[in-house]
Amino acid sequence: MKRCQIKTGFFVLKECGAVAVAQCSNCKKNFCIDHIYGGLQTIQNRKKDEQSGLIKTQTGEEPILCLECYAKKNKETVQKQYQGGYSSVNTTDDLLWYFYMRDSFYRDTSFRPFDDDDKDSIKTHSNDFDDDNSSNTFHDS
Amino acid sequence: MDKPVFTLKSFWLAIRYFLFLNNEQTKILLLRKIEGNKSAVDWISTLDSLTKFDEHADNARHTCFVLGWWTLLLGTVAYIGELIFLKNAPMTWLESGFSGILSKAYSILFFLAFISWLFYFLFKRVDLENRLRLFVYPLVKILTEEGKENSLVALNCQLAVPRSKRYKTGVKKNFTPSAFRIWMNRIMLSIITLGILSVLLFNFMPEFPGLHQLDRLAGEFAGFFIITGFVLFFVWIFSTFGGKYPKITNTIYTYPWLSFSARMADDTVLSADFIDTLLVREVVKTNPRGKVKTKYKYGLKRLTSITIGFDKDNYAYNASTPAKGSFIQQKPNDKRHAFKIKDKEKYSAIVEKFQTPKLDKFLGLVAKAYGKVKQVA
Repeated sequence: MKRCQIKTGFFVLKECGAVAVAQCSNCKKNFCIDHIYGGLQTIQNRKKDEQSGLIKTQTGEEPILCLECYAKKNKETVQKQYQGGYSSVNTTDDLLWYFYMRDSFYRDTSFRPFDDDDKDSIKTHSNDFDDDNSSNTFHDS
Repeated sequence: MDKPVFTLKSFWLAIRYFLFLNNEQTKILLLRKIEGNKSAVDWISTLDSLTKFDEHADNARHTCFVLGWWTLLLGTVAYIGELIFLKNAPMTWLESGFSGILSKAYSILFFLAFISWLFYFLFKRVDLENRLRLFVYPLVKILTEEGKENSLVALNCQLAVPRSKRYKTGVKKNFTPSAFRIWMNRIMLSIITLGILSVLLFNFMPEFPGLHQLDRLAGEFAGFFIITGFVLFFVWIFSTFGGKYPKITNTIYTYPWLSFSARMADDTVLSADFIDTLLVREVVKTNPRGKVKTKYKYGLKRLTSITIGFDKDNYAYNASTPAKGSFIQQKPNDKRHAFKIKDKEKYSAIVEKFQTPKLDKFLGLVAKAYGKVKQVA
């Protein structure tokens, strides 16, 4: 069974992991029902791909997008919708606000969040804390 | 949206959301305070209706304000128009029924004005600070994604306006208000109130046989209060505008509007306190021509204090040049790399309108802390 590959979280990203129902035509990631732009009606009456068991965009159809790709592709539209800040009344999709906000935060602050994939490439160093020469005391007492 | 808009639909939506609030939400609305320990998802379900109600109520209040003034103005114009019409119009016009239309028009307009102002003050009574829907609610939404599943978020949030009595922590004056002036203010207010009541009673008393005596008394009282009020008015002016200038009053309000703590999905513990200190400076002085003027100045100090503790099993300290400015490290304990961040902002203005705190800025401070650590395998 395919799992949702959309990264959730803000400072530490991890995959959603819910059961995937469709594939984004832009980033090719599988995603679950919570992360589809437009909701359930977008994929209703569409046929599943026999190999993967997921709903994919066929030729001539409206592209199926995940919320993250929609927020990135339609920055100006989404920005107008949430101009002045989050409004619980304006949005029909709270998660769209969430992905828009996250994407604009990463862009504006150049912050790179931790990712589960990063863990494998990191090794600990035993002398990281012993910095007696530094005037900024980050070592143990 | 921070700025309210004129929309009649919000009026109906505000009432609808208000009627469907549960006991807990109604209690938060009336006390203007959130306090508790719940999961982020539970907080969202509690605050969702409240934020929607508050947004619509702000728009409805603005709508009532605009409508209230317009209907009052148009009603007054129609009333004056009818009086002029009745005195000066030819008989044929008087018989045409136009006067009846004007009389119905101003009655309806005054009624609408009354309803508008009534709802304006009712919505004002249950108004919540915009920080709830512009900062707190979006923050809790992020915690539903970033927070550890089923972990509790301790939230303490004040939702009354900063310039409330409960937050007043100090008053300093460079003069001593005279007892005579304080009593004159009270006497003038009482006279004006009784005078208005007497005038209303005199003019709108129904025509009942037994009430003729009361009608006469009300008329005499109205006359008495008008004359006495006129005389005392000059005494009051002298008491209020006498004395030495400038008269400076500094009032301090300490507004601890948000305090929360939460555990993130990566076992990081995050807690933050947000305190605003508002200084209101009232200066009464005379200009060279002897005219007395009052000016206000507002100063705001915003303090954000964040404590973040990274689990040593998941994170190691990342040796790099520490950031200048607001970043200070706390002594790490056995289990966690603990960082304390203090951020201060200062604003001053001549009108009491400050920007609501930005969620992006707070997230940026937390991101700085994450930049100090690296994940371990």
